[in-house]
Amino acid sequence: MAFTEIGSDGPVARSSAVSAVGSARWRRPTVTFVGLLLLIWLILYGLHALLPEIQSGAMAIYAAKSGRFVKQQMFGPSDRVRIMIFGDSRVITGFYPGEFDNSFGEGVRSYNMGLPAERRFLPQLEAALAQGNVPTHVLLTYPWGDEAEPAPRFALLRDDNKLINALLPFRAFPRDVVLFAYNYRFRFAEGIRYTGAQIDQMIVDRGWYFIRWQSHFANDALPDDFAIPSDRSRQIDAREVPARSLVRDRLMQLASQYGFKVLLVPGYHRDREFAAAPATDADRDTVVLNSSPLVRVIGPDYFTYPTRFFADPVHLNPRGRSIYTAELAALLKKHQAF
Amino acid sequence: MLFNSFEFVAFFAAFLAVFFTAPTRLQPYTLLVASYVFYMSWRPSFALLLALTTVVDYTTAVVMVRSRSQAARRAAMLTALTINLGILGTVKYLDFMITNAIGVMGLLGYNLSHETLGLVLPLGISFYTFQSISYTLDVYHRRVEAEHNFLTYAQYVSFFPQLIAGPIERAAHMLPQFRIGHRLTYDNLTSGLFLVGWGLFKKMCIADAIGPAVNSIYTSPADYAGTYQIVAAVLFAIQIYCDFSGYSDVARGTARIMGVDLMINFRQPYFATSLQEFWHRWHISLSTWFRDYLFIPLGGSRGGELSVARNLMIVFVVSGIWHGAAWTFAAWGTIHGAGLVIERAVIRLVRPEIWLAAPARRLIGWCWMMIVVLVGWVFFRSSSIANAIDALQSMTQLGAVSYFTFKMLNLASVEMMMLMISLTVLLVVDFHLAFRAGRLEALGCRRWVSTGAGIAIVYYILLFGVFGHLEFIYFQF
Repeated sequence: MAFTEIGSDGPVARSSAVSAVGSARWRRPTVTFVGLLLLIWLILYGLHALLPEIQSGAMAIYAAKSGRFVKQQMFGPSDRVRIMIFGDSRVITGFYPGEFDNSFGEGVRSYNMGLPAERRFLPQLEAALAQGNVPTHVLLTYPWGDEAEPAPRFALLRDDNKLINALLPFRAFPRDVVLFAYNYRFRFAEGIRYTGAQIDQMIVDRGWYFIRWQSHFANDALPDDFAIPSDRSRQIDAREVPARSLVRDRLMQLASQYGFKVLLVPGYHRDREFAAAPATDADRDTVVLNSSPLVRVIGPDYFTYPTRFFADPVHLNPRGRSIYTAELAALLKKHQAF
Repeated sequence: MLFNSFEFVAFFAAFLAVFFTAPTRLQPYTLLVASYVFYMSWRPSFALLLALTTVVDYTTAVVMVRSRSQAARRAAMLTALTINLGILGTVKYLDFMITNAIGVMGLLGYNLSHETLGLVLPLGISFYTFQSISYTLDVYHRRVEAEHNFLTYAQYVSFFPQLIAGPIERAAHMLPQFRIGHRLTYDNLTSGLFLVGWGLFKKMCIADAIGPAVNSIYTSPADYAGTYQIVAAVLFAIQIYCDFSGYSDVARGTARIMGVDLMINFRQPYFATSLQEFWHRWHISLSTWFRDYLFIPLGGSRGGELSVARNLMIVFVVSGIWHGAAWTFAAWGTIHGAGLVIERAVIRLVRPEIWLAAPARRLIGWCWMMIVVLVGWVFFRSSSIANAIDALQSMTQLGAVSYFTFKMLNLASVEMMMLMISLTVLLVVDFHLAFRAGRLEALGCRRWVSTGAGIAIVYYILLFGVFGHLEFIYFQF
């Protein structure tokens, strides 16, 4: 009956209808329906909890970087300069801590704290600090957010997206299963082993990770004429540093408490993705926040690289990461940042 | 307060609890208060115009009933029309007219400073104004009795399930339903919830999943080659159908739960095999409104082909402008009007029923309908006539497509697969509704099928639907 109601002028039961609230007719189907809904919820929740390896690569990296990664002992007593660089997946693929440290010599140890599709850095920084991992320098490729007010009470209830993800924490699970099955051709054990090995390697590489499944060109390099319609080759992607920000206030509080410095450093773009950053910014070394310790902006808002150094429209390939890491190290050396 | 939000779920659940536990005599008050609360959740001041429209048309009808002369009735009717259309014209079209007048003056060499009033368009005003006007005209033509109970009439104008985007109902159908008490029944609840679920599936799993890709292409059309323009036109055709018919289904479903029947607004329009049939299946409440209150008074199908063509063109240009104060909507209406005129002429001159088999006629008719409809949607969705023409021109030069562009448009890998699954479900259900309704009916009688389908819809929406307060397209009209 219910199907045909979609397309019919089916009669609406009027006040004379025989069934009413509380009648026996309601009880069984309602209990069955609600019971099945709950049962499915429990099954999906159980599968989601039992099979974390199924989650997408980005989620697996996110989870590992937010948990296991920051809970390890990151720095040793001989590490005079302790660096954490934050940003999104561009940082994950673009900054290679081993090469960065080598360009400075002994006593420098860095970690790539980038998270997939995430520019917020405070939760991860706070988690690291709580484990006793205290940096001397925090490098930000994106400035803090502009939230000037604390979230209102019951903010969750106002945000349907957050609310549904809270009610169904396994929401991504069915998609992940499909992707996993597709990527590994239903060889689940092999897939689970591979994901685990990737996470282990990411931790050995101190947070650097190459997003191989997004690379679709030979040698992981885009062709020279590569462009996509969303490119804005005449537009400069200027970085705005919000003047008022709760995140900034908290960052300054942590910087004072733990004694680390904050440096805003360049990220990167692909040729044609945006116009090159103004040449006048190349030697910039500006104090943006006259607090203690100072917050400095060093260099341009971003570097620009040829498409052959990219594995996909957004992320550097291993050749590109070496170039970005070296250029960033050279810039920081030049400005005696450490 | 959008249908596709948890806010509405909470509001509707609270409303139902009060509505069905209240004594029958208090139900109209409950419904009226809820309707105004619902409407005022966007902007409280909008309610003033809604109340004004209600008072004007209620009073006009009473005056017409009490008038002894036809001239007085006519004067009352014209007064109400002037006020209704005056309000609609001012808030919806005045800025558009000022801008165009200044443009014309500029062409004549008079450069005037460009000032508009910047009026905010109250939500749903085009819908409830037309609904209210239909009542006034029906009373004037004695097709319906004037409603003497103000409370009943106020419910008719402000009934919240269909207040913002229709269906545009008629007094003869709705007023009797507001005169009786309502009880929650099992059949109304289950069939109503099924309609709500189906509508939300179309809105949240298809229309909102497609929306970002369509927006990206139409925001900067020059950046996308012809292939993408074709993809965008097809996707927008699907998006607007799922968005608007989804809204109508939710409206019908929520009303059904209350025990109120709303008319069907869509009957699988893309299965039409002629443009004329398309308009019998698309936004039925608006097309029948224009048929009854504009096309027939203009002369309808009586008279020669030229006068019919003139009437069709007038109706469709007005229908286009009804959608919004922009030349793109006028162009959309013109394309459909011209398409119908051409279709009538071809059928009359060529007489395909004589020499062409029915399946071939249907196929050709479907292709013709889809071409006109898709070209129309390009104008409807574009931000200017020039952009629409550019988009159509670029469709003649198909360029290469790239995986990464589809990925940037959110149409790659899993997203594309989910969309394909959703569209297949839509196609299968719509096909059965259009051609195999009996089979669906037989399936629906089996309880386990109904229960399974209900659970599948709930979980499909929860797992794959787009949450985040995305408005319905027709809210802007």
